[in-house]
Amino acid sequence: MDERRPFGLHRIAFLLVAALCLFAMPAADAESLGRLRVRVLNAVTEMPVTGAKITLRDRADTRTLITLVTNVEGRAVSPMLEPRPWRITAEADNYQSCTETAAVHAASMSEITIAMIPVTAASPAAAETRDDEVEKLKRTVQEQNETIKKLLERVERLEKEREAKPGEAEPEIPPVQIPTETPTAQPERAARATLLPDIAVIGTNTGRFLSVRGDPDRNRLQLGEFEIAMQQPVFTDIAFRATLAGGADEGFGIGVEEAYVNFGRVAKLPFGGMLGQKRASFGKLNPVHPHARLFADQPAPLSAFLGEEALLGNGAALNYTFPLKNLFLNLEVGFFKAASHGHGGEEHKEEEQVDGHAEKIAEVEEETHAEPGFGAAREFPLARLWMAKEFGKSLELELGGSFAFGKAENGDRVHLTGLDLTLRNFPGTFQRLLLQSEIFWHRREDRTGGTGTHTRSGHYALLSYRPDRYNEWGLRFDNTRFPWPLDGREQSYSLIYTNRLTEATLLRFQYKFGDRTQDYFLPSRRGFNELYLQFIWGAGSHSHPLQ
Amino acid sequence: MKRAAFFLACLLGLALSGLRAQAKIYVVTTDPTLADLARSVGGDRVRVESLSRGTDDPHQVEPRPSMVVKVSRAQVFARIGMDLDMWADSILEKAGNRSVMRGGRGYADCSLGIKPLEVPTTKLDPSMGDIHVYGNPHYLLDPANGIIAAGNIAAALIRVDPANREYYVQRHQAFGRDLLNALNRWRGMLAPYRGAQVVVYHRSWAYFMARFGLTELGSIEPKPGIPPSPGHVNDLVRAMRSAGVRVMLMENFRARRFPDMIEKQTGARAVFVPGAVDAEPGVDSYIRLFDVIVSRLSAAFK
Repeated sequence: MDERRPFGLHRIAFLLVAALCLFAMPAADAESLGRLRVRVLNAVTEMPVTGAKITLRDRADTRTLITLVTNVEGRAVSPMLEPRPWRITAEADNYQSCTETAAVHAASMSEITIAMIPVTAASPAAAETRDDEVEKLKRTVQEQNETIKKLLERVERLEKEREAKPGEAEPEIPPVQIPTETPTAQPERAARATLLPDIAVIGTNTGRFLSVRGDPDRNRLQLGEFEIAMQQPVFTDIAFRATLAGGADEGFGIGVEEAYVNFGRVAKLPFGGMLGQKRASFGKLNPVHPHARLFADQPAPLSAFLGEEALLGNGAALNYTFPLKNLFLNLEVGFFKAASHGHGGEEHKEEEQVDGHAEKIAEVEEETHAEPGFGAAREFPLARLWMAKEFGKSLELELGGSFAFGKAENGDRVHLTGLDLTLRNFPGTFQRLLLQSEIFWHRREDRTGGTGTHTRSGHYALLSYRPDRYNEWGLRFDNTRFPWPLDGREQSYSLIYTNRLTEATLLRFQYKFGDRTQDYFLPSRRGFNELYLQFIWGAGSHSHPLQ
Repeated sequence: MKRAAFFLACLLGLALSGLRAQAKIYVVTTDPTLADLARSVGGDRVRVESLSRGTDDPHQVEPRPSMVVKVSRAQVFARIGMDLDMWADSILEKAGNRSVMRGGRGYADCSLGIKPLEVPTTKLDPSMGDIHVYGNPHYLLDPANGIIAAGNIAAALIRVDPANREYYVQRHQAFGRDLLNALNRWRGMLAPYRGAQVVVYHRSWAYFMARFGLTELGSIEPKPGIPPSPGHVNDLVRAMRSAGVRVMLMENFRARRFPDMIEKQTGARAVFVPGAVDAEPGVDSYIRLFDVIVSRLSAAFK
């Protein structure tokens, strides 16, 4: 029997595997190895250096030295190399040897250019005499100086090229790690360490072009008011805000309009609070500073029931946000002392009125001890319930109710009730459609004259549309009476256009027309026309509480 | 008996699932891009909501009372910082939620650790436009900075929920790996155009340009936040012609009027891209955001 086994399947399989490995090896090399292309130039002339000897040393010290020689273009290409840093030494006659390091990347051709500095032979031994030697050394020094000069010029040129392409220097990739430091109360990158609060100056230039005579600012474009706003956190959860205001009506005497501290939380209780003087949180618009409103004048019902400028209170308030999941419900309760608008120079007020209107005001005041506004002379409690509901990401409805009561100078009881509605829709980027309305009821119990209880009301409605970042259009309707015993009514329409130049600077035009009878502030006139031009500017940063 | 046991088991299951749902950390972010980063590192342990929409300009979000409801219940509050989302301060103040206020354990200023660009070194004033004192705040448009921002969110999650520390660390690592792999891909796509000059609408692309080796020739806004003027646009057109600029890059919410006009005059293509996650349909993640930006940009260069 033939003992030899046939050329069995095992052997064929082994040969096939071996063959496959042989074929696969170069492929694997090609995938995992890379090449290096070296270019050698004369550092001075930038001409290629032919015949330079290139030695590649593996920095991991696992391969023997690899030697290459540059061609007529000064180039040499390495065999396949492991992807790691390699040390490359270039040597050539009449050049200083030069060593560089380059990284080889897998499956790619890395390139490196080596600039070799030429040397001029200066062998003292070759000099026949000492004089010759000195001359040769001088020439060498001169040549080397020229070489250095040319090298410096080249460095300068390369640096300029690098500056011209800033995008080429890619920022480093941050490590994938989670920071361990504890959060700080303030941003870490304070531009400049300072203890100063944020200070902003806001100016409001207003031109009032009126068809009715009697207003001292009629047909003038002037700085109407300016505010200096300051704010800063003073403790965890506690921040102070102060607004100093000066108005043209009062000769720009500066007074404190607002100065209060705001508590995010009162101790560990679930309440926030404020302490100091501020625009009372009565209704939607009263707490908003004039420069942040969407019109140039104040709506007539606010002037009638909250005062010519605003209802200010000096005292304390607590506010509580109910922990509801999908509904914002906030209750604020405060107790305040009536405060006057802080402008200085009030003594000028009556002197500036003309056409006998001031006398009329004085008569009314003397007879009734009354003036527009809430009318509480001393302390008054105030409460506001504010709710809001979001419908999707674009629509929000807000409803609010406010109530305050107090005693007038002559002992009459005064009550003020307000309801407000705000609907905001944000159909697209920058776009906003706003509907806002407030209604006020003022009730006065005539305890001195015994004429009973008198209720007066007024309201305004605003429809405003902002189509883009810079423009906004508005339409407002005012309809109001004045608190008893003042007579009069104003009913008007306003068309408003606002152009925002920057975040803090804007131009506004407002045209208002309507009827005004026995107005407290201006002589009565059926069918009046008014044009307001407003320029508001701001410098410095400030923010407003949420309204 | 069996029915009663089944009923009890169902009740127990429901109760446990409720507990599980309640155990999720509620994260509120000022921006949908941060919301996606929070989802990436928080996984199924978090419930995330953004106060603004992807289509909003992050400078100009109007604070609303409904946002207070969210922030008052948040366990982690993540913001872009560098004064970009200053509008959120009034919400934080009203919410009174101490744990997410500045310095609280759930407060994450995602800009911490970022190397800011364009930090002003001179006195600032409003004539310079909307300049940010801490530097250009659009750092999320460099994908590598997404790693830092996500790290800041993960740190806040760990402070609030230390029991799941390893989970957040691992998810952050995985997110970083995915992002770096994607970054290499984006680099490759834009590599042929390194050094190319680009015009932007607003200076929100500084970090993106630095990452991908592009150079900003100028912006359609003469100064940040200032509307373009005809004179400035004319100067820009001349400069673009002279430099041979081929591409203008801007967020998709920018007005088209001036870019279209410049496109006609110079032949440079106006490329409108989403500037944030959710800024257009299909852009539902941070990586997808750059997929779209890079592909549109490279297509415009071709």
